[in-house]
Amino acid sequence: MNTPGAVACKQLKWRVHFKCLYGLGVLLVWALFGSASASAAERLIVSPQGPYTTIQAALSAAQAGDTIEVRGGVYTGNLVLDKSVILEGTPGSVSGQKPTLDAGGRGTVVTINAPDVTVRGFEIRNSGSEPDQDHAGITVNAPRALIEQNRLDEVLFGIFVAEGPDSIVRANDITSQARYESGRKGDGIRLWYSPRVTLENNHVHAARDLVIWYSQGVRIINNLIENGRYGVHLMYSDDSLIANNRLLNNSVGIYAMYSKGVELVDNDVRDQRGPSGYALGFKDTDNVTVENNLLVENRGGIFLDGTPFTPNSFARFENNILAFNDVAVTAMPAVKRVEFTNNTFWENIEQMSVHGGGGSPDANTWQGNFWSDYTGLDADGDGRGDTPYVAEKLFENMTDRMPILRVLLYSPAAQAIEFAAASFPIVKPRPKFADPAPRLTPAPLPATTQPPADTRREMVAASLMLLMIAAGAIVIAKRDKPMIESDSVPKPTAQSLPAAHRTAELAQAVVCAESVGKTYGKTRVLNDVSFCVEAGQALALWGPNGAGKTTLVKAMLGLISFQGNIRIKGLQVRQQGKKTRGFIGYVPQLTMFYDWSVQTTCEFYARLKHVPAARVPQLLQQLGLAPHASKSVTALSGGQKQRLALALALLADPPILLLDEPTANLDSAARAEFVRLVDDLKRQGKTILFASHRLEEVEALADRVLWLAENQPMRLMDLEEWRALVSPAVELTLWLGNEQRERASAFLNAQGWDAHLNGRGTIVVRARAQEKIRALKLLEANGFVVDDFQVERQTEVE
Amino acid sequence: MELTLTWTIARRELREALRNKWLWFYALGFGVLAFGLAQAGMSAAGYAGLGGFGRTAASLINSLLLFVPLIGITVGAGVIAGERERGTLLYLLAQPVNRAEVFFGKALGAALAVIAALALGFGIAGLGLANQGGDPASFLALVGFAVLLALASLGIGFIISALTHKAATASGAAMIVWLALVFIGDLGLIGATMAFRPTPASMLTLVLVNPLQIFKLGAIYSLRSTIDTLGAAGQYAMIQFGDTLPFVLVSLLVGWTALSFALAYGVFARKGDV
Repeated sequence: MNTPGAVACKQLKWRVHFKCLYGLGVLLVWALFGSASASAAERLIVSPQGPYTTIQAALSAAQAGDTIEVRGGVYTGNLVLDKSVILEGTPGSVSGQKPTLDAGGRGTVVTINAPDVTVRGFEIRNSGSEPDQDHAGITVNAPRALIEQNRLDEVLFGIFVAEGPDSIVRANDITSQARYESGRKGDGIRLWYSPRVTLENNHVHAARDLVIWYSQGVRIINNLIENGRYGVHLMYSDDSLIANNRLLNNSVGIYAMYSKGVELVDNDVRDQRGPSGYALGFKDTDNVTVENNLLVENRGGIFLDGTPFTPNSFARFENNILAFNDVAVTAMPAVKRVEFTNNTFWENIEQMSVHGGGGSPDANTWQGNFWSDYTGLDADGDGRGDTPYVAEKLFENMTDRMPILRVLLYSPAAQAIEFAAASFPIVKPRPKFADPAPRLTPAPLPATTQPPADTRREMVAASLMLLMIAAGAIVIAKRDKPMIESDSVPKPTAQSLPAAHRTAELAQAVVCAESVGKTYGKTRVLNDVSFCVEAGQALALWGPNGAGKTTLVKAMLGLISFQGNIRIKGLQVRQQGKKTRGFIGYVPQLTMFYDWSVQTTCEFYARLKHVPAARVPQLLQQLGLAPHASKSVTALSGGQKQRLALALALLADPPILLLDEPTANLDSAARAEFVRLVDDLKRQGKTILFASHRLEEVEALADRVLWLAENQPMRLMDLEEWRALVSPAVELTLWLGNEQRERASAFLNAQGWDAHLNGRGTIVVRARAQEKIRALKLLEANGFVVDDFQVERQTEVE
Repeated sequence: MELTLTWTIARRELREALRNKWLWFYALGFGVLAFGLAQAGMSAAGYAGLGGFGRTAASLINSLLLFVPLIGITVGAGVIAGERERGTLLYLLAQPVNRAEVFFGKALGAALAVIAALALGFGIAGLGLANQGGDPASFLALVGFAVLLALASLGIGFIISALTHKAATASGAAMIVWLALVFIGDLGLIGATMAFRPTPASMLTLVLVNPLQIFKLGAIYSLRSTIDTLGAAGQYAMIQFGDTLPFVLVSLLVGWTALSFALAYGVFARKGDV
């Protein structure tokens, strides 16, 4: 039945069916074509075994959105990605290593020309290296690239994002070509007109710079950048965030120029020590926020030039730690409106430097910072110093003006200048700034700071070694035994043998002086002195003080320069002093000993003379010093000291004894004892030269006498002649009767006497002392009667 | 020259020098000072982790620059002049020894004494540092440079001693020379620098004339492996010598030591009259 209602109903059903069919058709089309398009995003496998053996072949077959999986192997050539693909390297099943993309030293290894490309998991190496080309490991020329987990090595530039906005560079390891010095290398990462790029978790090392130019809103987070030139170089790039990065051992850390809105947070910047090695530098940059950064051991912590640049902009440094930097903050003189708040300045060599000097101390704000060299107090206990921290050091000001003077840092002279400046207000420098209420406690170090290596054991060992060296020196000094054992000491020579064994040698022992002269300044002390002493003889050196006796003794010992020649046993003293001294035992007028015991003194000189130590007790016994062996020499009497000197002289049993007024300071008993000892030695055959003032010593010891007198020629004489010379002349006054007086005078003159009448009724006879009795006897024998006489000594003997 | 004689005289000199209370005063004073500086410098909580080279290390170098040459010059100045004045030198030279044996024996003995004093001072300081950690290699290198400076200073002291006859004169001259090396020379250099503005190379050369400055460069290098903290002249030295810088500095100090002792011996040997 085709009622309008039924027709309407049929039409409605038809429309419903039609719609259902339409829907099914759409589903069918989707199923046919949509699923076909999903299957195009499949993985294309590239490996040495296929299905694709080259990346280029896979790339040609790939559609946008495909993933090209590269499994191991080395793929050479310059790869250009002009489709939006994911290029993913997976380790080879055999080698286990990432696939390598190698450009063979020509051009860029991977160039991305399509948006939304991912390059992940490759070893990328061997780009070109021409300095006028930007050859890179990866160059990005399109937006939204994702570059991650690649290792780039031996590439000039690492990753060059040129007009690649919104790209992400993540977890890559990048280094440049090792053969070039840093200026010749390319940049590890370079951003060029690429806003909103994120650089994170990358390790950039031994490359040139990490450059961000003309790129706004860049985020640089958690990267490790080391051993490069500029850690991060930001230019014309506003609204950047640089956070949680570690920058180690670059020439410069982070340097921002001509940018606005730069935020540096939680970075750890150490050892930036290039020629201008600043951890952080800012030039003509506005709205700078620097917080919680750790800046350690850099040449400069912070450098400010024209920052903040425009009015109403700011530069804030807050809660940063600046430690062990050469200069914590360097600012150009015109810098102003910078705020330093709650920072810690710890052990920086110079806390703040105004480059070139000058500037105003009020230009910037310093508030509540900690200064490790602050010496003020906190009487009210509020954690703030009660007096301002003022940076005013004269030598610092000098180095600010003339940086080359920094070479004198740490010198006492620099300290002296600072001391002078502090002491004398006239030279007090102008303060660079003042922090009115400094903090008294430094900020805690970040928890991530590595504790120092535990070297306590090594340091203790090194210290103990040094203390042992000190102790060793003391032991050496205190040891009684020589360090060189007696076996290595030359065996005793004939000198050290008893006299009985050396008769032949003694027979040759002679001392000969030829024309010996000595002048001290303008004073002629010795003039043309010549003599010879034969073996076994004793020669006395006689003369007044200043006659040159001691000078002659010194000359014989070779202790002074002199004219003429002195030979000891045929050897020239001047040329062979050591040998000739070996033939001589010397006793000075007053022997000066070291402050030792008798025994130690003897042992010391025994060593010098190569005499066995056993000889010492024997000699001490012989000279009556054995009971005093352990005494200090300072405790000996004068006589004992001279006996000790004689003992030392006799240590090597020398053939010649040279004694320089040895008894001058002794009492009569000691003198007699000493002379007896020397007389014994003479009897044993020693050749003896001795200076003396005492007649009885010469009488007792000398065979001949060398007479020395100031400004007079020397005279060598036998004992008789000497006696005659040293006997005093006398004037004998005689009283005789008037009738005999003239005759007696004439008689004496006729007999060779020197007699004259003196006009007072007496005769005066001049004669030698020993002849006066003979004059009296002569007169008496010839009939003259001498009523009385008087003797007057005319001259004194020196 | 018989080494046995030289050694015998050296031992005597060592014994004599070790009896000098001033030597121990210097050594202990230096040790206590260094210990105190180490404690003060390292004890701030938490900051040992940074382990840097700062003002405290600078103070230590400053103290060394004052103490070490003082020990060397004063000990050296007293050795010959003192014995000459007492008369013991004449008696010693009257023995069968030659002047070289006496001179070098004395030099060796005095050198051992000075080394012992420094070893004691540094040993004490080192024990103080040990508790705080520290780098033993740097520490020992610093000790080595200090010993070389002490020896160079000792040689300078020996020149003074050989030229003078009285201990008091020698001591006075020693203080003047010490002042000249420590202060006057550097102050003169500062004045000359401000007047003539030398290049870094010239400045470095001028600085290296003074053994104290050589030591200072060596000490800084020992502590931080670079001397670039000393500005342009320091950077020039690093560029010019690089890793060989410590050897250059050691050579210069050894040269100073050899030259000063050679000069002193020349004076002692040629000055014929005792």
